[in-house]
Amino acid sequence: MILLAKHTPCLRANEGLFRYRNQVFGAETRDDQSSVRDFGILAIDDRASKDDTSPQKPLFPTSSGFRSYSPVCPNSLIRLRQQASKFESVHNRQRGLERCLLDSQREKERMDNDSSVIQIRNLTKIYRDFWGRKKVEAVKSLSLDVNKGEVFGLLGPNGSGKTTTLKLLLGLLFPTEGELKIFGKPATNVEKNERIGYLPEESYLYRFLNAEETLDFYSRLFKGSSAERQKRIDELIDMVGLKHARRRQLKEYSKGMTRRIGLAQALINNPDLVLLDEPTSGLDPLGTRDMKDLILKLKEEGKTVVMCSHLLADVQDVCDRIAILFQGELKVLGKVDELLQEQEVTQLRTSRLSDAAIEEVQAVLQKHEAELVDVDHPTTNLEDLFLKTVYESKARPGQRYIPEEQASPSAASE
Amino acid sequence: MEFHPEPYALVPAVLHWAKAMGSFLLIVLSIAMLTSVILHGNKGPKIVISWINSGLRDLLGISFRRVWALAQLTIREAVRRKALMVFVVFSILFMFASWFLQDSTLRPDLQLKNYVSFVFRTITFLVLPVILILACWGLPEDIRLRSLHTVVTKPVRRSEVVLGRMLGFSTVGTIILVVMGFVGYLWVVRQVPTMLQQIDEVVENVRVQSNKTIEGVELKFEGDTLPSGVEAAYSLNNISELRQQSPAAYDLYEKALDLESRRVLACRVPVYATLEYMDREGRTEDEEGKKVGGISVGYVWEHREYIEGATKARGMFTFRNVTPVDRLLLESRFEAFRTHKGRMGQSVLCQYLIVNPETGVQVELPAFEIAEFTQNVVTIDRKLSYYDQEQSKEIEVDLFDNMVFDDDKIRIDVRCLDSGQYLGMAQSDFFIRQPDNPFHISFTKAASGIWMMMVLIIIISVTGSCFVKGPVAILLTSAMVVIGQAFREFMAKLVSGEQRGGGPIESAYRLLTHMNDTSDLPKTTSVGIMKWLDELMVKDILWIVQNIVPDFSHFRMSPYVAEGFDVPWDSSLLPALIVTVAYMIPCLLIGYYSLCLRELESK
Repeated sequence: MILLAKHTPCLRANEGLFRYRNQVFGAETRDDQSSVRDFGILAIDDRASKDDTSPQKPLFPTSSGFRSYSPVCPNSLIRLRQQASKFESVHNRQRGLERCLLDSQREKERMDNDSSVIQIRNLTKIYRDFWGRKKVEAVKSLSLDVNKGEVFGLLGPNGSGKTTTLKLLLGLLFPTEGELKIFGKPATNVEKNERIGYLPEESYLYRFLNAEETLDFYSRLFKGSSAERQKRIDELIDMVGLKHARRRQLKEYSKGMTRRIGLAQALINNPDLVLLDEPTSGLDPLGTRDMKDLILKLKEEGKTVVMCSHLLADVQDVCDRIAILFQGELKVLGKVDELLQEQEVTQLRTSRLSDAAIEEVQAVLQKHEAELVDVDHPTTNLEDLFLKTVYESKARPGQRYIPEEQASPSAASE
Repeated sequence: MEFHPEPYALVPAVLHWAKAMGSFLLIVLSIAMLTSVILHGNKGPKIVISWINSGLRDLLGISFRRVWALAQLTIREAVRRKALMVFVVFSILFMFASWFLQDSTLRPDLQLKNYVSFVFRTITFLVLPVILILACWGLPEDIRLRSLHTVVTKPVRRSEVVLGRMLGFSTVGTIILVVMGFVGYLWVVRQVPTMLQQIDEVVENVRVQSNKTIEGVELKFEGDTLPSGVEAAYSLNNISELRQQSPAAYDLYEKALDLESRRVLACRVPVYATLEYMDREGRTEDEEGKKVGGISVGYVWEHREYIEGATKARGMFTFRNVTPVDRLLLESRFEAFRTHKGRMGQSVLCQYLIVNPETGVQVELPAFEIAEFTQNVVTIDRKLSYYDQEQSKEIEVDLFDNMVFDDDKIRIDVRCLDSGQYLGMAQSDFFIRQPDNPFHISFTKAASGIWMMMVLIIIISVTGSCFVKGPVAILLTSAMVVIGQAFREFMAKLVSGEQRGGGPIESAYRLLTHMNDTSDLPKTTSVGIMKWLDELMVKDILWIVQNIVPDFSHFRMSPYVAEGFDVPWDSSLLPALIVTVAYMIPCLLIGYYSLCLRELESK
């Protein structure tokens, strides 16, 4: 069954769904979805059974088709479906739907408050010139949720809308359409910032301050006694490894050091939600690893982390879920493990295998009509090799680089 | 200098402010509603109302802790961006200023007037531009460098950002001003020929020798005021000749100069009177029942009016709130306008008369020659006497028991005794001199005038920088300062219709048609429409513009100090304070909403 409402250019997840200028529209049943281009729609998947606990996906059509969705509590949808079918007249349907939707909305809000830290619905951002003409559509009808305690990655090439989305979340930009909520409050609400830490893409800090003064300034913007502030400042300076440079002005810092102090200021209030814009940019491999470790540590502490980056390796290492944006549109959303899994390829890992054994394995595969794609030894990646070398060098000072020829057994025998 | 001794009318000023502010808010609200309806349709008014609500909530939730943190940041920023280099320029100016300002041919009071003016001008011209540039650049630079992103993503309200900036720049300015003011004060005091602690000895020496007459120069000491012979001493053509002929006279002359300097350094506390005139026939009202005024002698820029000598013409000064004292010190500074050369070597004769209009008693005080371009100081004892024609005898009266009328008023008339000569006077030319305040009091008050002006400039600059970039904010603030200083009177004349040539359209029409401002315009429909449009623009729009631009003339207090007066609270400090506070409230609102409605990350 599909419940239809007349099309609105900006449909919202809850109250906007069935309302258009305070008018509630009737429900109709349609067999297919091809004729609903001009309607705002809450599509209920009839295949879902009562026992199915997975979230249903009401669809929000735009002129280009079904693009975004939002999970809705299945129980409320089932109830909605049952109640809507009882309404005979259009008038009764309207009133009934309104009541059902209110229940659904309340239930969803309760659910959101429990688990979702960030809710984005149909978010669109259009940059305009002085005369109001459209320059670029940076974000197009983006809808997604970030749940409590997860590390969420916003990926995409340059200009894909990652940073714009982050700045919309922080209230530095205003959405052209759509809705944004952080901790259940609008993005422009100041009070939400009590629980947020933000590391900008570049560390836009006050360069005339030193590290101590910087953290002292930002900590004064939050509640807390002087002793608590000082303790937190010492902890953070220690954590980001800037103890030796705590009294140097930031204008004398290297880029990596600036990123570190930027991170410290983002964590000054021990936030529940940390927004990191390109957190590893400008950091050396050691710093990158520290940053990644810190993100994982924040996750362990139950904090929610949202990071945007185009460095895929970094994201892969730390993120639970990712969203890939391209030219402002959401292309992929899901768990990293699931998304990276190649279902068509089966990988076998063994200890060292003799040539005869490999031939036997090939024969078995041929018997089952499977093709052996590749037989090789597993490789590590460059980052791991680099880190291993650095850590070993630290452990054994004085160790020298040995050329390949000298190191090989044949060269040694000659 | 022309002082305005009238006390500031606080209640009308507040009402006027409320009217101007209300009109301004109404216009802004209407524009906001219209824009919102165009952009958001039916939801438009609701959005505007929600903005107003959130604004009020934000303003009520302002945290001083965060404001002070932002202010401290501003102070550090100013200090580390070398704003205090202004002290170097200040030091250089003061190190060499006396080379150019010292002029031994000037009277000490005029010399000190130059010094005081120099100090206040230097402070004003150094502090205000530095603070203006700092305040205009602060926020736009923060936005450009995106440092503000890290602040507004903390629980900081936009109103706190605006207030923090204002407070921070004000603190920096105050520090600079206090240091400069203190150095300036020391510099002025050190320019006095003899140090202040030596002056008491000088006074005592002059007192001892007060009855000596040397080389025709009588240095007579009168109470605590200046020796009357000082003026005569200046008239000597060659001071070095006097020194050769009579070292003792020269010594006394020098001591008199010290005393003169002391008089200038003190700050006189005047009690001004209301001034009415009596014409040459003794009438206070003309045939139409209007109060008569003085005579204009044709000086265009002269603020004084003149009374004719040897007639019944008088200037009637009525002092209010007079409290009994043993001796009343009267000080005046009248100007003479001569229709003939007069008596050789003598000035115009003038006389005070104390009049009680209720009893008709009139006490004539001894006539005296007015000292032109300087003060006449006359002391009246409480016990006075006058000759009663009817009783043909001298009658003694008490100044406060017999001459005060309406409970607390004393009327003192001034008349000119020389036939064919005229005596010019204004309300501020004649006053009762109360016990002097220390010089540093008036100096501090005048410095506080600069301080309030600086705070107002900071308020305007920070507000401007919330919605435009640094250079534009500098231009905007500078324009407001220049218009507020120099063109406000012109705008007032335009609004009131006193200005000839009509409004902008009529002026343009007259320019294009080569028609001067005294010619009448033809009575046609198009001219009628033109005049109607002009009236609309001038009466309403220009009225609002006139009220948007602050009246910076309220902050000019240094002339009081330069002239040796105390800076009055009710007619100078209070209006300056009211103007500053009056602008702070709307500017905070404008700044807050400008930052709120602005996308900080906008390209």
